[in-house]
Parts: sequence; structure tokens; C-alpha cells
Amino acid sequence: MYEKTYPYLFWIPLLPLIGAAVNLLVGRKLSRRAVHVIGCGTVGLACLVVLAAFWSHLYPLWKAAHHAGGEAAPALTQTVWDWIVAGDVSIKLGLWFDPLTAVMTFAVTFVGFLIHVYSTGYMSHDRDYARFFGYLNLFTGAMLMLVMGDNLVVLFVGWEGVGVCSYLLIGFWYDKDGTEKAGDANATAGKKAFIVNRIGDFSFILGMFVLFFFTGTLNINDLSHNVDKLMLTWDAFGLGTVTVAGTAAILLLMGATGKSAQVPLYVWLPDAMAGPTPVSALIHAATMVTAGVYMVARLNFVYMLSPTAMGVVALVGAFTALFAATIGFAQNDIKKVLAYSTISQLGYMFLAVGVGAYAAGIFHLFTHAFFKACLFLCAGSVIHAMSGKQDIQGMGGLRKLMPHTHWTFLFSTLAISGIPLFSGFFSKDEILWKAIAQGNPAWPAWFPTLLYVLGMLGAFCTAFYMFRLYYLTFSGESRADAETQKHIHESPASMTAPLIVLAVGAAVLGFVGLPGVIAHGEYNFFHHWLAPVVERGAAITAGQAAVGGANAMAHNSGLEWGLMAFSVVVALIAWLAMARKLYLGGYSAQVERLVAKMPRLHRLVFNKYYVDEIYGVLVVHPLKWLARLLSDAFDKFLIDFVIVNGAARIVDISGTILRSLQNGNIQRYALYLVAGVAVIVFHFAGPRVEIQVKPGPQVQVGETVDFEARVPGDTTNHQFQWDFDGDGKWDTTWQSHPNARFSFDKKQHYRVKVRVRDTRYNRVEIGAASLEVR
Amino acid sequence: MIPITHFLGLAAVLFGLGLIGVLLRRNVLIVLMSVELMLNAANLTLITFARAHGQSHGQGFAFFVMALAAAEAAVGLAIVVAVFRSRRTVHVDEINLMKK
Amino acid sequence: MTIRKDRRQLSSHRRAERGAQLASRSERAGTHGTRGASPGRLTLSLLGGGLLLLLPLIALAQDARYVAAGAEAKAGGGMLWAFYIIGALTVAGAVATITRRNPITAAMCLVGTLAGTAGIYLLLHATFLAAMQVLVYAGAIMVLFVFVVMSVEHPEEEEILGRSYLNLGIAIAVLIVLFLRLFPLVMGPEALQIRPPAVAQDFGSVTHIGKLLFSDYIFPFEAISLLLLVAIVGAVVINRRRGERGGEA
Repeated sequence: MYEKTYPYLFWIPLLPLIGAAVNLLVGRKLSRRAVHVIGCGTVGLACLVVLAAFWSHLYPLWKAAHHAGGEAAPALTQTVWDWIVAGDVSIKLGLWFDPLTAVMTFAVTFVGFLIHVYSTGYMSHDRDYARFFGYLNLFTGAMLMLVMGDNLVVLFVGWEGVGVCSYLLIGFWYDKDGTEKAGDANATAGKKAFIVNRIGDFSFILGMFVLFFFTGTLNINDLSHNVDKLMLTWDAFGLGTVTVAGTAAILLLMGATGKSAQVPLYVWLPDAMAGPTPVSALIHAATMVTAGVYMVARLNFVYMLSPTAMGVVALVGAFTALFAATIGFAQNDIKKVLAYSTISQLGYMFLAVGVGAYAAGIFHLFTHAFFKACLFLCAGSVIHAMSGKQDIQGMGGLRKLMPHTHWTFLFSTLAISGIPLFSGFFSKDEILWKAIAQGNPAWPAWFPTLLYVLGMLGAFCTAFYMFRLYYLTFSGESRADAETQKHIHESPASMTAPLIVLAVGAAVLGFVGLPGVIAHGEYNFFHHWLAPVVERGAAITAGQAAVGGANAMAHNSGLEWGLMAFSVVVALIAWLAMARKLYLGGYSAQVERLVAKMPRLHRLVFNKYYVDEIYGVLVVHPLKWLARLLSDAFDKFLIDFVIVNGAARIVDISGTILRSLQNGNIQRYALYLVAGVAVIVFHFAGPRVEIQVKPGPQVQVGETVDFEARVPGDTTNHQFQWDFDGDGKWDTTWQSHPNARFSFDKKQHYRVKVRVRDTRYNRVEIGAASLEVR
Repeated sequence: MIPITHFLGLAAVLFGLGLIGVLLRRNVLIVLMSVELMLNAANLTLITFARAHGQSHGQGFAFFVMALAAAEAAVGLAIVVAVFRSRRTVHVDEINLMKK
Repeated sequence: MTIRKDRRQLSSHRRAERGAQLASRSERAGTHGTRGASPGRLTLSLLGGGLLLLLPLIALAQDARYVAAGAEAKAGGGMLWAFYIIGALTVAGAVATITRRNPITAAMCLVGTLAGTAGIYLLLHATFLAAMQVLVYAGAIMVLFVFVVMSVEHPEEEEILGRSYLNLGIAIAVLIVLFLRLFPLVMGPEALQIRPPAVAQDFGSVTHIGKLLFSDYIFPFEAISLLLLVAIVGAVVINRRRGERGGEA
């Protein structure tokens, strides 16, 4: 009753897709202006539709549902098309616009729009301008389908779509400098992204299979009504009983680790920095990588049914947050630092949804979209100014030369480091608080504390390496060579305007989600907005298994304030006491001393813990070997050579053999004829053996029947053997007289056989007679 | 009395010899002669069985076979002459093309 | 009767002609390695032919005596010997036919075989057919063969048998198989030991066969005359030279 059909929903994904079609198909013939008007315009229009849907239709519904509470779920729906209807299976292309979707679509379209505008400046000199905008629009359309789908299939279509676009955009400069060799690295990075994603997608599909098999539907709404089926258990290879929900949750999570770059499938994201910077901003910071978090939030009721799954999600998130953060310490490529930072922040989001704080996770997603996009676009601006160089060792002193970029970068850095009053502080802090204050009673007691510690350490590292990046890039004197220094300039307005908008968002948006301690959560608008979605999940799963919720510490507001203060202190220490000291004005002497003291550790971190190399040995190399084996042994040899060529050669050879049968020699043909005659004669020649039956062809049951075998000619050297009952086994031994006697006991049709052997020639003839027994 | 089997054996031998001639000789005329030999063997068998059963139907049959053999020989030899006219050969293994 | 006599004379004439031709031919060619036809040979062949025909006549006469006497027909005796001799000659002629290099020689040997077969027919009380055999087969058909042999050129044959040993092998194998399968059937003591019944005096005579032809086999009789007509016309048509002004060659 809180749902309403809104017939214009489909325009939201459709507009960017139309833009993509135009730009990709005919874009080359259009002027640059037309291309970017279409590209940016469609996304902007989609954003307007989102706002219209939100303001005029969803908001009233939300208000009504908010009063009702419980399982009320406000949403705008639209079923565009009956896609797969086969027997019991009915999968429709349906769109669903509820509070969660509203947040996601707004983030995608708004930030996306800004990045599109930025690209008009950044890619202005690129010759594949239209193709870029086409791909970007295609991506936006796919992402919107992902977040608006009302069933997992549409979600997966979007999932795959963004994967494809990621590949296309990472490898955008596949022929860098006009040659394919120079662009080979870019293409490889694209492939790596897609393939690693594919591994995750495989797991995702398995998860979908599990859900479909047990519940018969993939519609998210319908799934939420099938909680009892989700709670069915099965024995997992002797390891213990697992619920369907748990299995699906873990499988889907594996897919999410691929898409959202968590451990273990994060390795593609740093390499994805080979793509143009707007791509990195849009896809690998703001939107695509958040798809995994969205998925967990959307399927919250599935996850809530399995404490184990939630624990895994939280642990993966927390570990990734710390792990990636440490790698950021030693990277020298500006974009790579930001990439690891993304991985780390995504870890926080997963941590949040893992402990059940869905609103917190999505809130962080929202703020992260703004400040991370801003950071990436600033990095693009810097790279643009540095004539394409990305190494921070050769940067510095850009503060004066690029003021807009500098200030927006600083704001975003403050946000990401969790400095109070900036957005990142509120979102990240809420996550850390919920990590310790919310959980599942089924978890061991030390688990929340572990999560908190990991998260805290990660926050510390985040502040440190982000400010390291800031200082090395912008402060001090320029370390670049003279040639590059001459070209350093501030970016055009098309690039700086989005930066400013995003930075304002990064600074200010935190206030839509003030923590619960302040006025008992009344000002946590974000939380309230998402409440129908979160609480619905909780209401559905209440009473099933060990459902989590706030634990004992949740109501300790003193603890909450204390931890908040603690995190502020940690962030400030990391910034002022460490990063500033070491890196203000460039690499200080202390840095070199520190590095010299632990060279091996530095090398380990610098080389990303050699994870890529480990994967190469464990996975890539065996797979390549297997592929080569299959290609050479199986495909080339077995199929091509043996089967295909072999079939042809068999035909050829048999043709040659058979052809020799007809050589034109008539006498040879006559010979065949004679041979055939010989065969026939051989088969049929022989004395006919007749059986004479007394009293006749019809006898009574039990009556004694006399058989006599009549063989023409002299039978002195003949022996006879009889089979009376037609079972194929000979019933008598060889006897030398042609008479036999038998009585039948069943009323059926018998076929009596006699074997006649001529002992001199060892030739056997068989005669038969039919007998009807009544 | 001469056992019937003797006659049949003789017929079989004649037939076999004729068969060998048909299959193995190169000269087409010899081949035709061997065919006549085979026909004679068949005739002999027919007449043998006529005697064996005491009916002369076998002999009537053999009469017709004889007439047929004459007709067949005539036509066959006509063909041999015609082929010889165009191919100038009487060797069977050289006459293996349908067209001229 | 006269026709018959004429034919006999004609055939012996022909034989003489053939012999002469053969002699001249071999003189000319000189490579055939055939022995020239000498008068002695001719006489020998005439004698041999006569013997072939006389022997069974004698044997039959004996048999007739037995039958008239009402005595049980005895196995063996003169008829058996006649059979062996005539049979041997027949088989020898057949072997010779298929192994001669010179087609004329082969034709002559075939004549001998056919005559021998006629003798066998006599042993089987098929008198009419024996006469027919000599007249039609040995007389007319073989003459036709000889005509054609003479009108066709025979180059030096290097090989009697075909070039293919495979043919030879398979042929011999097939024949062996056939014989092995059929021989016990035929020659085995249990098969076909039908004691031939005593036959009527006119069994196989002209009258008897004639009655048969005109009663039971009237239709095939008429049909065969049609067939002979077709054969004649066909033979003529096949050898008509194209482009010649009409007609029968």
C-alpha cells in the first residue's frame, strides 16, 4: 500500500542509454559540442527525473510509511516489460524506486553529471571524444539499472553492464600514441579488471541460483516474503548445517568482493588507474565499486538471517580497510594512492553493512562519492597540469599555481581523514561506533572489538597517507624539471567547477547524518530516510535465527562520545604530528632515515605485499598452462586434427578404397557378382531339414508329441539334437536317431528346433516347426 | 545305372571351367565361348534331373535354353564386331570407356 | 534328313577350310606357335568326333536291351565306362578351350566339348536334344563363332589370363568355396540317391519332346521364335554402318 506506479521511472536509465547509443553510433560525425551536450545533458536530465520522482512522489509515500513503521516499504514501481516468462519462471524488467534507490540514483546521476562536465575539459584534446562520452553514458545507464532493478536479474544485467563499461573505459587508450603496442598495458589492465570481476560474477550467479532454487523467485520483494524458505538448511559437505540464506549471502558476497574491490579480488583496481582520470573518478570511486555495498544493503534481510555471513562481510571489510590503507603508505603514483584509498574506504562500507548498520554504510557511500570523486578529479587536474606526469616524487609546490585544485583537494582530504565537521568524519565515525556497538549475539564477544581496532588503525593510516599525498603534491617547492614547470597551469572552468561543487558537498553533506548522540538521533536525517528499508529487513527477519541488533554498549552515550573524541585525536595525530612533520615541503630527511631503517618492510609495502605476484603464480600461471593445454592438445589436436580432419580423411580414404572397386575391369565386376552368388549359395545350400509332428500342429497340454526329423538322403552319419521349448538351449544331447518325444506343459505357441549334424563333414543344419499347445 | 551324381559333378566341373574362363580370359571371344560352356553345364543339369525324375520337362527347358543361347551368341558376337570396329581391340580390359 | 546330311558335310567342309586357313595363317604370322593344320589332324578330329557320338549310341543300345528285357537296370557296365570316357573328353575339351591362346583352337576345342556333351545327353536318354546339340550348338553357333574370330584381328597375346592376380585369386577362392559347400551336398551318399525310374521307350524322343513343346510349352515356343527374330534384327542393327545408304549389310 505504500507502493505506487510511477510511469516515468524508466526514463532514468533510458536517457543515458540513448545518449550512449547516439554517441557511439554517430558520435564521430557530430561536432564536439553536440557530443558533450548529449552526453552531459542526458545524465543531467536523468538527475532531474530522479529529483522529481523523489520530491513529488516518493517523499509523501515515505512520510506515510514512516509513521506506520514496521514492514511498510514506500516505493515507486514500474514494470517495463515481461522479459522471461517460461512456465513458472517470470522475470520482468521491473524498476523499484525506494529510499535506498533514491540515494543511489541521486549519487550516480549528480556526481556523474559533474564528472561528465569535467570530462568535456579533460578529454577535450582526445580524438575519441565521442566514444568516451558514449561509454560513459552507457556506464551510467547500466549503473542506474543496477540500482533500480526490482529483481536480481535486472540487477545482474546492470552489474555486468558496468563491468563491461569498466573494461572499455580502462582500456580506452588501447592505442596510445596511435600504436597498439604503447597501449598494450592499458588493454591488459582492462582485461584484468574484467577477468577478476568475472570470477566474482561466477560466484554471484551461483548465489542467484541458490536463491532461485529454493524460493522460485528472484524478485527482491518476493524473496522477502519467503523467509521460511531461506531458512532451510543443508549439510555442507560434512562441515555442518548451513542455511540457504547463508549460502547465498556468502556467494553473493564473493561477487561483491570482485565488483567492490575487497580482499581477495581487489587486485584490478590499482591497475584500473590506467584509464582516464574521469573514469577513475566515476567508476572506481563513486559508483561502480559501490555496487557491492548496495547489493548487501538491498538484500539486507538475506544477510540478517545468517550471522555467519554478516560476520564474514564485516571481517572482510575491516581487514580490507586496514590492508589497503597500509599499502597507501609507500605508493608514488598519485592515482594509485587514491585507488588504495578507495579500496580501504569500501572496506569501511562493508564493515558497516556487515554489522547491520546499513544506514551508516550507505551514508559513507554517499559522502565517499563526493570526496573521492573530488580527489580523483583534482588528481586529474594535477596530471593535466603536469603534462601527464603522475609521480608525486616529481611534484610539489602546486599550491600557489593551482589554487582551485588545491583548496578542493584539501577539503576532500580533510573529509576523508575524518576531521570533524567535514562529511567524512560523520560517516566514518558512525561506522566505527556501530562496529563496536552493534552486532550479532551469535558472534564471539571479542569480535566487535576486533572490528573496531582494525577500523581504527585503518583510519589512522588513512589520515596519514592522504596528508602525505597532499603535502608532497601541493606544498613546498616544485620538484619537477624546468620543462614541465613551464606548463603548470590551473585547469579550465569546465574542470574546476565540478571540483568546487564536489568539494562543497564533501564539506557540508555530513550534516544530513549527524550522529545519534546528538539530540538522540533526531538530526540523523539520513538514518531516518533509510529507516523503512532497514527496519523492514529487521522486521521480516525478527524471530528467525540469531538476529543481530544493538548490543549492550549501544546505549552508552558516554562511550560514544569518548570514542568520537578518540578518533578525532587519532586523525589529528596522524595529520599534524606525523604527515605534516615528515612531508611538509617535500621529503624530509627523516623519511629517508626511516626508510633506510626498514628497507625490507618498505619494499614489501611498496610492492603491494606481492599479492599480484602470488596470484600470478597460484592462479594465472596454472590457468594459462591449462588454456595452452586445452588449446593445443584438445582443440588443435583432438578436435581439429583427429575429429575434423580425421573425419575428412576417413571419408577420403574410404573413397579411395571404394573407388578401387570400380576400375572399369568388367571381369572384376563379374567376379563380384560371382562372389555374391557364392555367398548366397553358401548360406542357403544344405539339405532341408523337415520335422514331422505327430499327432499334428495343435496338441493338448500334457499330450505326448512325436517328432521325426526328415533329412533327405542317407541319415546313417547324422546326429540330432532338439530344442523343444524355444528357449534357445538345446534340451537333448546329440542322438543318432531322428525321433524324439516330448510333452508340453504350457498353453502357448512353441517353435521346436532340431539340429542335424553330419559327422563326416561337420556341417550343421537347423530345421524348425511351429506347434500350438492348447 | 550311372548315378545321377556323376552327371551333376560333370556339369559342375564344366560350369566351373566356364566360370574361370569368363573371369580370367582377356580375349572377349574366348569369354563368350566360356559363357557357352556354362550354359551347356546348366543344360546338362537340367537334362540330368529330367532323367532323374522321369519327366521330360527338363528336356523341354533345355531346348529353350539352347535356342536362347543361339540368340545370345548371335547378338553377343554382333556386339563384339561392332566394338572391334570402333576400338580395334578384342581385349576385355581395354574396353573400359563408355564414350568413344 | 538331307539337310542334316548336308549340314554334316558342310561342317566337315568348313573344318577343312578352317584347317587350311589356319595353316596359311600360321605360315604368315609364324609366331603363334600353333601347329599347322595337317590332313592327319583333320582325320583325327573326324574320327574323334565320330567316336564321341558312336560310343554312347552303343551304350544306349545296350541299355535298351536291358530295359526291354525287363531286368533291373544294373549300375556300372558299359554305360559307366562310356560315361567316363566321354566325360573325360568333354572336360579335356573345356580345359583346352579356356587355356588356348589361339581363339580358333579354342573354338575347335569347344566344338569337341559340345560334341562330348551331346554324347552325355545320349546317355541320359535325351536323344532329340543330343541331335539338337550337335546341330545347333556345335554346328551353327560355333560356326558363327569361327566367323567372328576370323573377321577380327587378334594381336599377339602376352597373357592368357588377365593382368590381375587378384582376379585369379578371388576366382579360385570362390570356386573352391562353392565346391566345398556343394560337393558334399551333391556327391555325398545321402543326397539324391534317387534311383532313376525306368523310363518309357520314347522318353526324350522327337515325338515326346514335340508333344511337350506344342502342349505344355506352346507359349514359350512361340515366344522363343519371336526372340530369335529380335536377335537377328538386333544383330543386324548393331552392325549397321552409319551413313551407308540403307540397309542390310
